[in-house]
Amino acid sequence: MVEPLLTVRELSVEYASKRGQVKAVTDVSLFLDKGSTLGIVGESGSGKSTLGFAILNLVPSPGRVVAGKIMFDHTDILKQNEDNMRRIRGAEISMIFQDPLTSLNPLLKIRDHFTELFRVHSSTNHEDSISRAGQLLDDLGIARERLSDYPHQFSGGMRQRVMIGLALALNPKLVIADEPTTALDVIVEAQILELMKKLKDAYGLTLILVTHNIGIVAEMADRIAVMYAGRIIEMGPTNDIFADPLHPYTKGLLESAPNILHPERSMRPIPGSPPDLITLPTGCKFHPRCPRVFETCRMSDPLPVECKRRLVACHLYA
Amino acid sequence: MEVTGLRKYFPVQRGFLENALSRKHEFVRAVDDVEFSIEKGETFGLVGESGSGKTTTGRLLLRLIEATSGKIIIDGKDIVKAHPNELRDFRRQAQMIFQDPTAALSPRMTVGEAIKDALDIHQIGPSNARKETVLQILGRVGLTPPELFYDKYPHQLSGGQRQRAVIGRTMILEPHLIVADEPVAMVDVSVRAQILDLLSSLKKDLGLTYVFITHDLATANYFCDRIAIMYLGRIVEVGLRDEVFNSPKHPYAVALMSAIPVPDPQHKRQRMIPRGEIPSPINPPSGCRFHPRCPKAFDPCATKDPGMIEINRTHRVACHLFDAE
Repeated sequence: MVEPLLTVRELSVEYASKRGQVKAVTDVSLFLDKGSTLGIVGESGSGKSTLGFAILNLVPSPGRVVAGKIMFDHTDILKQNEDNMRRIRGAEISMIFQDPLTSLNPLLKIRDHFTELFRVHSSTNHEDSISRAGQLLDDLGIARERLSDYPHQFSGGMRQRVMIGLALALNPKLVIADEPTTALDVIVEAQILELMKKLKDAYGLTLILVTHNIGIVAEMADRIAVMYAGRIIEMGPTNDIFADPLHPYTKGLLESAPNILHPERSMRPIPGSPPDLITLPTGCKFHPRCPRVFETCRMSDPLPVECKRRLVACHLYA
Repeated sequence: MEVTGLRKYFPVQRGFLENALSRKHEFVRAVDDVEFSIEKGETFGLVGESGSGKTTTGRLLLRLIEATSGKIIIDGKDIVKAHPNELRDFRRQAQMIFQDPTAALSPRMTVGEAIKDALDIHQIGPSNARKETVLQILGRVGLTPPELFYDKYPHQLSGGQRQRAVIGRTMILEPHLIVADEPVAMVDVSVRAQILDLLSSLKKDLGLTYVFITHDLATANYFCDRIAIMYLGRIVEVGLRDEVFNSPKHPYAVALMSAIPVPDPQHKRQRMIPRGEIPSPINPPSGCRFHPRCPKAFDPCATKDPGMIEINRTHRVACHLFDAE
């Protein structure tokens, strides 16, 4: 059996706040095979972005990984010093953020973003860097001449294309995209998704796609991990989860999303609201909102169990 | 409500020197010759991408900004020309709900005080009965128990609860018309439908008319009776919800529909995505504004502005493909 490219084991991340510890990620385990796409879905505060940052060992202060292990291509990520991590980020694992404007340097031309990346990470000479950057722009559907433009001369969609280009420039083994199209209009979003699909095949990418939009994971992901209150509550093949969601929250999430094809089957609300991460409910974190709650749910936190080719953390399947 | 020839041009801000050296004044044509009507009791959706003019149109309807030209007739009165004194009543009857409930509520006022403030400003009911009215409305918008929520500050509430409080403050004035600008865009997905259902049930109880502004077609499909699709300051297609969604006519509308992500991994489709991006509203393209990106553009599109063409009594489209022979 081939070893997964990425394995996360029992990872927990907490943020310190005046009111107490915010348990952003609790006991998360997952694996990712080379060449596959994992969609991490959840609402705001579910821990999906924190999980993405943790894989890059980039949890922002006052956050801290309190437990767990992240193995990436035989490297123990959480044990690396900052110099090693800097080498890994960009070259081995790269990230695409939601807001391309704050991620590009307004004082640097697009070309300089690329050449700096090559200068820091590889021994490529200047001419080669520029021709490689031009080639990337071709792949992204941007005219080469625009290498000498500044970020403000680009539209939102073009900037996001540049971000994708920068993320792919060093042929990383893993790309983490955190809400890559959330800031974009629907047609530009579709353009970017089509581009990402094309590049995924062309570059053989391994991708983690973090998003709240289940329409996007349906289109892009091979497997899905659904997060709620910092935990993965269901994980498995995309088709299986959409056809037959096991966890009541997954079912609720799928039904609460608008579906243009079946308006009558969409937008059913889940009662209540997502929990406060400092004072979490006892037992299963979803039990106060769950339509199928019973005695055990209030008392003990369900562990993930294997059921129908996937993992689900719910007492109904224990 | 009857809207005709509505325009809003914003002057382009430039530096002092540029202004002194050039006599040419440029304008952003945010809303450019928009025409539609809304029946009492319906939910009318204004849908478009950013920069389409949907929000500006919504603000014009309530005269939160002054129109450059055009008419907005509500109950026989032209809102564009109305005297400020006449507007006071109108302002109570026509309310706006904004996207960000956090910005719409004062952080220093409890939810109850904020809602009561609206009653105080408009001098509605005897002052000693106002608190009771506020408690009733809190219960109605689902902030129960109302006594508890009356004394809470906005930061103690979740996003969905804050939007409920904003809706409560809007409804307590017993308005007839509500312009809701992306009211659920900042609310969590699982809670979004709760808020929309609340708006629907309030509409039924109070006989309201909604103008619902959104970029999210799927939400518009769920919530609206009729829909107008805007592009670069123009309405390109308007019709009953099912007409616009099931048989979109304008190539831009077709593109929008095909771009929406569908939460169904089995759904395979060929996307019809237009090239490039929305051009600048300062110098919009000649003729049909969509023609540089349109896959079906032909002779007249670059030169001649298509008027609104009737497909049937309710469904109209601004596209030369549907010109009468």
